[in-house]
Amino acid sequence: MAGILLTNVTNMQRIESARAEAILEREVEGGATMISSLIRRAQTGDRAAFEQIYRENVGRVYAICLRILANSARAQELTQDVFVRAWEMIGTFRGESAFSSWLYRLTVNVVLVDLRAKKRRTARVLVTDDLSAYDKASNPANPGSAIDLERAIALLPEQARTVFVLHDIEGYQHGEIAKITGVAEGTSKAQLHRARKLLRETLEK
Amino acid sequence: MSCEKIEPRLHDYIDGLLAAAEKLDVERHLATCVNCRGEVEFLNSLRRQVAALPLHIEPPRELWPEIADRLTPKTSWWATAAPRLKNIFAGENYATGGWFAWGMRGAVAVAALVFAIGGVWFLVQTRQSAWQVAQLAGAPKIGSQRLVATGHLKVGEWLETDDSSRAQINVGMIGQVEIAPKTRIRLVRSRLTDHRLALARGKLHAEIWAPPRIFFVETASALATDLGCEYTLEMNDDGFGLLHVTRGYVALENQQGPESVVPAGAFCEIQPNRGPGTPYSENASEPLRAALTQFDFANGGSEAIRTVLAEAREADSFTLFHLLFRVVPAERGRVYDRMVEFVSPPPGATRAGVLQGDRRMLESWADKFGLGKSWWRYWLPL
Repeated sequence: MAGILLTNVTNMQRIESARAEAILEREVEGGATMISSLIRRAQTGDRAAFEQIYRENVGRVYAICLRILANSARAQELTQDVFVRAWEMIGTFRGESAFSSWLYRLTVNVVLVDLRAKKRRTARVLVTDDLSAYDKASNPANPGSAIDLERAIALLPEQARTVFVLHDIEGYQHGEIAKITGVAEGTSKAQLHRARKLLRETLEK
Repeated sequence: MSCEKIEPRLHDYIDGLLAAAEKLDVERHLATCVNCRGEVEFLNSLRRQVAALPLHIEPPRELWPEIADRLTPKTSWWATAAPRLKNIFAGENYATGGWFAWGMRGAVAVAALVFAIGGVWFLVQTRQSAWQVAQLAGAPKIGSQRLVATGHLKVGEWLETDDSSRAQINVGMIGQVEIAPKTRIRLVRSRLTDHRLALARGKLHAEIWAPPRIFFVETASALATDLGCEYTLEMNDDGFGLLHVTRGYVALENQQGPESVVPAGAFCEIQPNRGPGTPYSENASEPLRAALTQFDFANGGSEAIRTVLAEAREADSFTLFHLLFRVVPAERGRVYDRMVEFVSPPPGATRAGVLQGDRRMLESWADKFGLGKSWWRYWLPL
């Protein structure tokens, strides 16, 4: 029974993922696609259109926030901040890049600004988070190992985790990471190597 | 080549960042080294596992209603005005060539011209690299030059007043700053979004009518950011200072501590290496002020907090709000309990939620104190 449920869940996720990819493809292809029409409508203040944009992208935005912050409550708050900010800034989107790239880059910026602000504060509570947040995220091929990996990523030190998520999951190059995080390219590389080394230690325990 | 030298390159090898010759070196080493082969196998397997991770993770709860609440309506003046303007210029709805249509076209054209000229003038004024300075008393100096009646303070220049002189600076077009006797101040920056003075010592009184976060005063111990306000800031040579806000809000921050947002009718002390302390009301009792100084600058700890809580009155609740996340977690509950004696929690805010730093609950609390939201995300110490 549990196996069937799990299969259904993973199938649904696969469908969801495929749907998102299809939308992305339509957007990349250009033309009179639905997403670009939604963007145009949202730019003129159409909330219903913006809500559709939100529905299509919330999973990806939340995943970026959650993986970098390793804190589900914070990730939910920043996901909200990202969409509020996107609403405020959507008028500046001119279509030079894919809308999804624009939105995910905005997400990374919002998260990094938050991390920098957090560093400035002395009196704070350290929340090493609820790793159960990853229970929903699973690997269709091997759910157990995906959760293990997610948990291991969440346990990485903040800087190493940030670079690992940006480089290995989100596909940023070291040059871009250096630019957006304000560290040297060499530091970005060193943090990535450190992250992978620590992951090996955790996963092979 | 040894494993120590090869190991850092294994990541570049996996990431495809090596030049052909280097790649060959690594592959030669791998052919003979079991350990490094193991490392490459792990890195490859990690790569496969990462590639299989879902790019989407659904949040555990519905976030849209809260987002929708925060979306401000977009100003659609252009959407409304554009078709009308188009009609006017196209002559639709008006008899083409009629006096009314031509009159409307003329009026719109003149308005556009005035708007454009005004915009350019505003940009030039706000970007000017020198601010007008007027002598109010005695003989203030700009650099080594005595100021007679009026002059200009350029970026990088110092304005200095002696025991008997005073001056007034026009901050571009966004406000005025009065410089008291025995003050030394420098114009650091004059940009559209960044009007910045550095106060080395002395006293200034600023009245700013620009939007928040455009006017800044740097001091040795803290940065004062205008949030739409009027205030007096005094610093001595050793970096000790006092801020008194008489209208609006001022944010004080430095690298050492959390930001303080000081509302009208409140003071905030500043100390070298410690930055801004906790803001307190003009009417706060003397023991409360003394205890805050102990807490902020002399590691007063629990003893000082006990005094603050005992002395606090309703007007001090914003002080307690600042303290909520400055005290050690064990004392946070006591601060919260005292605070709710003066200000009832906003709907939906719970003790546990606030103590855990629930952002929405804290935002609604901040609203209750009239502290606004614009600065919130930069201040919230969680």
